[in-house]
Amino acid sequence: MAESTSAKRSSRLADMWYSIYSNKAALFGLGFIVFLIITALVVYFTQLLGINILPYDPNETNMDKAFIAPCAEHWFGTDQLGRDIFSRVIDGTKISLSVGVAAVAISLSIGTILGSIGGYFGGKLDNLIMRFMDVILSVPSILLAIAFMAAMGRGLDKAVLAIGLVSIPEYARIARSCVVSVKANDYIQAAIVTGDSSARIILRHILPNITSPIVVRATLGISVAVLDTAALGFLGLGVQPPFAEWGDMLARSRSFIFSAPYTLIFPGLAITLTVLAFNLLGDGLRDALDPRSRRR
Amino acid sequence: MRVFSPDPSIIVLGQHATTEKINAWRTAMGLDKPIITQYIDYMTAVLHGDFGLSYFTNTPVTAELLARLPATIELAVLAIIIAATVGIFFGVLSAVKKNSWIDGLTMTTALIGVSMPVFWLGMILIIIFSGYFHLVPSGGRIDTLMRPMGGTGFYLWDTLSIGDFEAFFNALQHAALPAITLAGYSMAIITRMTRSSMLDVLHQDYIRTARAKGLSPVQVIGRHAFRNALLPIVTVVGLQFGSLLSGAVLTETVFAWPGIGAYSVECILRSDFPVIQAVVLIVATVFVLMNLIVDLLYAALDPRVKYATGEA
Repeated sequence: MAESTSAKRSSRLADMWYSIYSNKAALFGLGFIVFLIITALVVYFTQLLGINILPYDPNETNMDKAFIAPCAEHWFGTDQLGRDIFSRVIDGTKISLSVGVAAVAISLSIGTILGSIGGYFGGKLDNLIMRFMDVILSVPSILLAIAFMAAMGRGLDKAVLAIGLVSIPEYARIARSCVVSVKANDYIQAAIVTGDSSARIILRHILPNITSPIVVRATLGISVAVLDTAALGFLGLGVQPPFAEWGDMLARSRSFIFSAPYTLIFPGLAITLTVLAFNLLGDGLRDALDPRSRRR
Repeated sequence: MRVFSPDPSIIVLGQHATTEKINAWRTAMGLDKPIITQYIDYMTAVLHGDFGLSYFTNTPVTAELLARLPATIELAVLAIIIAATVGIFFGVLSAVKKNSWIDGLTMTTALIGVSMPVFWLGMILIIIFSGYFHLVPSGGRIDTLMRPMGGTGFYLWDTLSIGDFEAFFNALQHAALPAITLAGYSMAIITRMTRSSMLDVLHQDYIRTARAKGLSPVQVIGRHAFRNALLPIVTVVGLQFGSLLSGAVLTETVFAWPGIGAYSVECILRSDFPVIQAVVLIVATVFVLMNLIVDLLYAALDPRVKYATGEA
C-alpha cells in the first residue's frame, strides 16, 4: 500500500516535471528563479564572510561619481549618491526574495492550518474562521498591508509580517475547500474508524493530498509578495536606508525621472522580471496539475 | 490598528512633550477612555458620517476626504472604462484567434502587465509621453487657471457641463497617463479572464450549431458566444473596480493626483490614524458594494439566476 502511494507520488512528480519541461515559458520562469536564488544566496553568504563579490560596495556613497550614465565601468550607472546601481540591484535580490518567501511562508502556514481546521471540523468553528477571513478579504491586500505598516511602524520585518498576514485568507479558502472534498473519501472515514486523532488525520492523511493547489498558489503568491514589498518600499514603509531594495530605489529615483531615467529603469526591470518568472512558473505548475487548463 | 499602533500622543506631540500636555491631548481626543468605549464611540460617529479629527491638521476627516474623493472616483472610472474596453476587446480577439501570433502577443503583454509594478509603469509612461514626446503633463489634475469654480469636484464633468471644452481637454490630458497606468493591471486581468471565458463558450455545442446554420462569425461571436461568456467577465470587471481604489494609492503618488490615495500616503507617513482608518473603511465599503452590484447584475445578465424572494 505504502509502495503504491509512493510510486503514484513519484509518477505524479515525473508528470509534473515533464509538463514543466515541455512548457518553455514555465521552464524560463524556473531557470530565472533558480538564478535569482543562487545569486541571493551567494551575495548573502559572501557578505557574511566579509567578502564583496559585487563590482562595488552597494551602500558606499561617493558624491564625485553621482549620476554617471550606464557605461563599461558602471553597467547600470550610478545614483544620486554615487552608488553603483548594478551592485544595488543584485544586492536587492536577497531582500526581495527573502521577503517574498518569508511572507508566503507566514500566510501559507497560518492559512493552511486555519482552513484545514475549518474544513475538517465544520460547523460553528468553520463559520467563525471563514467569516473572519471574509472580513480580511473585504479590504484590498495592499491597502491592508499599508494600514498594518502604519500601525506597526516601518521596517523589513514588519513588511514581511504585514504582507504575510493580509494573504492568509487566500490560503485558508483554498485549504478549506480542498479539505472538504478530501474529507469525503473512504480512506479518511477508515482513519476515523480506526481511532486516529483529528490532528493525525489532518497532518498524515489530508494535508499531503491538498499540497498541489497550495503549492501553485504559493508560487503565484511569491510574485504578489515581491510586488507588495516593492510597493511598501516605494511608499517609504519597507526597508530603511541605506540598504538596497528595489521599490525603495525606485522611490528615490523619482526626483530624477527626467535627468537620470536610468536610475529607475533597472530596479523596475528587476521587479518585473522576478514577478514574471514566478507568474510563468505558477501558470506552468497550474497547467501541470490541472489538465483542463492545459488544453487551453 | 489601535491594537498594533504605538501611543499616537507621542507621534503627534513628540517624545519631549510634558505629561500634562500628553494627558490633555489624550483627553481631547478621547484616547483616555477604554479601547472598547473608544471603538463604540468611533463606530457610532462613523454611522453619522463623522470620521473624527485629523491628529495633525485638527480638521474633520470627513471634509478632507469628501474634498478629495471626486478626484479618485474620476480617475478610477476612467481607468475601468479603459481597462474594460481594451481588455474585453483583446480578450475576445485572442480567443477567436487562438494560437495565432495575435493571441501570443496579447497573452505575453497581459502577463507582463500583471507582473509590472504599477508605480514603475507610471514613471516609464511619464518619461516617454511627458519627458520625450511632451504630449501630456506629468502631474496634477488641471492647469490652475482652468480649474472650474464650484461644481461637483469631477473636473471632466464640471468643465463639460459649462461647455468649457478647452478646460475639458486640459483635464483629459492630465488624466490620461494616470488613468492608463491605473488601468494597466486590471486590463491584463480582464484580457486573461475574457479569453479564458470565451474559449470555454466557443467549445460549446450551441456555437457549433450557430455556425452550422450559417450565421456570420460576427453574429456567432457577438450574439451567441460573448453574451454567454459575460458572467465571469462582469465579475472580474466589478472586482477590479474595487481594487482600483487601492491601486490609486500608488498611482496618485506617482502623478501627484490630489485624490484620497495620495492623501492617505501623506497621512500614513505621519501616522495620522483617523484618516487611515477612514480610507480603509471607505475602500472596503466600496469593495463590498461592488461585489453586491456584481451579484445583482448576474440576475440581469442571466435569466437562469434568480434570487430568493422569501417564497418557498
